Amino acid sequence: MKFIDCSAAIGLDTNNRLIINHEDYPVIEKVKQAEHAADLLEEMDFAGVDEAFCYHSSAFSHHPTRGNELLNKEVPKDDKRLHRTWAILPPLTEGEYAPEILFPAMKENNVKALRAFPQRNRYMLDRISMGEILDVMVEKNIPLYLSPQDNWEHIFAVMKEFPKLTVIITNYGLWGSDRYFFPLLRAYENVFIDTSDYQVLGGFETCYKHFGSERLLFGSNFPMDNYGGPIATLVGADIPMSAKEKIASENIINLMKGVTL
Amino acid sequence: MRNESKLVKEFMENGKLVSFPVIDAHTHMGPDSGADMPFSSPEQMIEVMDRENIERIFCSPHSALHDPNVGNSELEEVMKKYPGRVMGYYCFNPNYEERFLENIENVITIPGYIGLKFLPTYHRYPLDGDNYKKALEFANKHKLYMLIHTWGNNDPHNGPRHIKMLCEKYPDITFIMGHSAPGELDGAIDIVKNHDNVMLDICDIHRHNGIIDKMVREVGADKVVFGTDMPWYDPNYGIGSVLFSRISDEDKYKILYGNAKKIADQFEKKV
Repeated sequence: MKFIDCSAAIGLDTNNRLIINHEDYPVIEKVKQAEHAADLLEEMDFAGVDEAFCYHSSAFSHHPTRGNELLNKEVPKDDKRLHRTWAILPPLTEGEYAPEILFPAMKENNVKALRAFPQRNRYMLDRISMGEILDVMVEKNIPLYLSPQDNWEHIFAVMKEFPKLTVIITNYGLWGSDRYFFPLLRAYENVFIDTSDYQVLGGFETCYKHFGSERLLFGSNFPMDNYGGPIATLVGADIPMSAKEKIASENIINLMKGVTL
Repeated sequence: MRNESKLVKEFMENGKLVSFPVIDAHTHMGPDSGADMPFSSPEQMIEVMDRENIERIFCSPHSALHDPNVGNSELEEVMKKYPGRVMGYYCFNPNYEERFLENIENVITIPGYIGLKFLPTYHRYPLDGDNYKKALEFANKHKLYMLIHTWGNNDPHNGPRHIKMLCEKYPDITFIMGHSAPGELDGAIDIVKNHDNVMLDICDIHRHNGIIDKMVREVGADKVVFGTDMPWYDPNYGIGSVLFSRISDEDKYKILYGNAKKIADQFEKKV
């Protein structure tokens, strides 16, 4: 089975590492990080993972622009195994994220997906603050990675305002979150779930029963999660092999094919 | 794949381990407030155990942990219905000390029990509180196992410092540090290194990259037990975390089965 990791981090985090356990219960624990792209590739090789969509830890722990720059240095834009994703900020305060600059830069750098950390970077992920970026993302089918961090309200809020936005929910903690994301999957056809934290017993089976296999994307949330857990949960799930193959790689391939830079 | 583990190959080919079964030393049962758990009934959990080749579980149901109206009755029914598949920890709620002491002798008279379970953070009662004293003395007298929820990051109820104090005061109890104190794993490791009657539990913390390797490197595989919090989590996630770690297949066997089997055997002989 071909595995493409929808979300992994390169680089050292400030705390190594703030981990979402569930919304109001973060943990700071030492994990084995991948300081450089080569380190992540070694981890992927050991686990049998073919490709990964990655970001730089500094984009979260320090500053999005710095993190994006470090990622560009680590991962060549035409790399066949590692694929860049950038973090964004409100264009009114950080002009480099104005649509006329951001989207040509994404095309130039072969970046097909973006990440937002609105709580960490202290802004509102809504039409008032981010409308000019989010409208273009909808038009171009560019996925936006979002983590609930300490609550899910901003995810529900942005979907209400931008119901056609493609969102990949990632890093949501190990407690079962079906009560949050099943309603989102039902209401919005472009919401997808990174499976890295999806370890609730019966989760894959129940999600498959309700929504089929197209809405789950294999992920590791590396290094907060290891590769073995998400791989074994998918491989051992009581769902058809064809569904596993879609989740393991086919869904993310199709999602990224739909992006028009 | 560079991982040349025969056990990984076996799991990837079969969707489960086949050369030996697994024992899950940290499980729950039934619904709970914090999350939807679609497969949480005893029957559903047994079905999953059959599918994932899990020989048995050591269990403390949510009802016993959180509902003093019910106590350990559900656990005792399930152990009776599934002998050899479900073994149990007698859950002790210190906020109802007298009520839970009333039936504590069940641990040595009812087949299936291996010890006690404390959940201090959730009971909002610290491990050094007086209300635990009689239960600890009972466990020490009968040489029981004790699964205690432990957490780091300065949790005032059940950090490594509490376990250090208890394991020295009650040397005949074997303490399993539930979750191995996430946030203070180094502190948990220090205690296990220096005390023969304390073990690490991989439950929850196994998911972070490199944790299993670190545990085995620091304390050896003989002092690490496999736990998953099932039905909160699919045991396959924990099994994968162990299988894909960079330890030997022999050590994986000890963690996934051998260590807990030794515990189970001690109590099966007593029944």
